[in-house]
Amino acid sequence: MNRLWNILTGGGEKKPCSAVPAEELSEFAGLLYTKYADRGYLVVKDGSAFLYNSEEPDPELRPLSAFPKDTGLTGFETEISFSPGVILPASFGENGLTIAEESLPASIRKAGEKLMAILFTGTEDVILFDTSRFLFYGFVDGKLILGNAEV
Amino acid sequence: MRKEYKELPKPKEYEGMSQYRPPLSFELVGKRFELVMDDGYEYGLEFCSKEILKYGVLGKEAAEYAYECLKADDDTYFVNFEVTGANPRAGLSFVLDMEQSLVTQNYCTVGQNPRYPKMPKPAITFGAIRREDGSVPALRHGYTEDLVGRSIKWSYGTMAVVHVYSSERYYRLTIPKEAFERLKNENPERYEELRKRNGETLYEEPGDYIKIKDGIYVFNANEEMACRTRGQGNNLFFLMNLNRMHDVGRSFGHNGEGGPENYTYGAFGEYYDTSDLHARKSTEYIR
Repeated sequence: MNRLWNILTGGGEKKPCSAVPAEELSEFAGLLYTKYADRGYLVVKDGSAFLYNSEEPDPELRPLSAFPKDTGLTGFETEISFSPGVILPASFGENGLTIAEESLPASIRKAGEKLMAILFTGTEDVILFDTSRFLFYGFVDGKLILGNAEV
Repeated sequence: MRKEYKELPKPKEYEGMSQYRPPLSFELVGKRFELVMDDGYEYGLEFCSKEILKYGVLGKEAAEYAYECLKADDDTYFVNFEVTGANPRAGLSFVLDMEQSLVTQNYCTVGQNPRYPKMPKPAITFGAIRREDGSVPALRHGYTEDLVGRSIKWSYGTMAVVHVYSSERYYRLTIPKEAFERLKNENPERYEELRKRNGETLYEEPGDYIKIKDGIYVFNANEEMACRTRGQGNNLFFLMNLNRMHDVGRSFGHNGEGGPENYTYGAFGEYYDTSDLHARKSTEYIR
C-alpha cells in the first residue's frame, strides 16, 4: 500500500470505490482501462496511465505528462472521498496538494476543457478531476479507483 | 501558518440526481440480443449506435429509441429509454447480466391512474438472454431479503438520502443526520416537514429487492405515498453494486415543474446506522 492509497483509504481501513473497467475499444484488448467521459478513457499500459480521447480526429494514447501545467486549481479547497465514509479535506497548492494534512508533491495539468490531471511526483499515481461532474478517476497503487468531490 | 483557501467554484448543474452519473457505456454498440421474457414473448434488442437501439417483439418490426447505457460492473449493464409514443407514457429499463445471460426489466407507465395521474406503475419481468448456441438459461434473477435491516446513505452530489431497507416489500427514507440538523437553520419549514414525516408518521414506500448476483442488487422504489400526499411521485430503479459501493439507475415520472422526467444517475454509497427507523412500527401500512 503506497502513501496516497493509505490516505485515501483511511489508513487502509476502508476499501476504495473501484472504477468499473471498460472493454469498449478493441485496440486496448488486454489492457486495464476505465472511462472518465463518454468518449474519454484512462488507460493503464506498462504500469503507467495514459489518456485516450476517441473524439479526436487521430486519437492516440497520451501520457499525462504531455499536458500543460496549469495553476487553475491553486488556492482552492474541497472535501474528497474515494472510500465509503472516508471524507478528506483537500487543498490545491502551486506544487501539489494537501489531503488530510498530508502534503503531496504533484504537478497539476490541464487535460481537457473540464478535466485536470494530478500527477503525484515520484510515483505512477495519477488522479483525473472532472471539474464538470466533480468526479475523480484515479490510478493509484496500481489500481483504478473512483471518487468524488463535495458539490 | 495556514494558507488561505477558497471553495471550488460550483460545477455545472445536472438534472435531478445525475451530478455523479458515470460516463455512458458504448460496449453494447453493434450487438444484438434475443430476450426470452417470462411474459411469454421474445424480444429483439439491438444496439445500433451509441445513441439509438432497436427493440420489439421478435418477428414484428422493431422500433428505434434513444437510449443510455451505464456499466454497473463487469458484464452487468443498465439500459434505459423512454418508449416514445406509448400511451400511457412508458419507460423501459433493463438490467442486462451478460455473465449469466439473464435479464430483469422494468416497464414503467404513468398516466393510467385516474385519481393520481402522476402515479407511476412499475412492472418487473424476469427473463433470459438467448446464448450464442441457442440455449436459454432456466435460472432467473430473484427477489431477495438480503438487504432487509440494512441502510445505505447514497450521495448524488447535489443531495444525499438514506435508504432504509426496512422489509422485503417496503423501504423507509430519511436524510443524513447532519443534513437534517443543517436544515434547522437553513430551511426551518422543510426541517419541520421532515421532522413530522419521520416523527409523527413514518415515511414508507413500497419497494422491490432483486438479487442479480453476489453484491449486486436491484432496488425498485415507487413513490406512492408521496404521490398520494403531494400528487406526484416517481419510480426510481437502482442497480446497486455493493462490492464497489456505487449505484446507477434512473428516475421516471415527473420533474419539479410537473413535466415528464426520465433520466439516469449515479451515486456513492456508505452503510449508515438508522436502527431507530428500523425499530419503529409502520404508521402507513397494516403489516
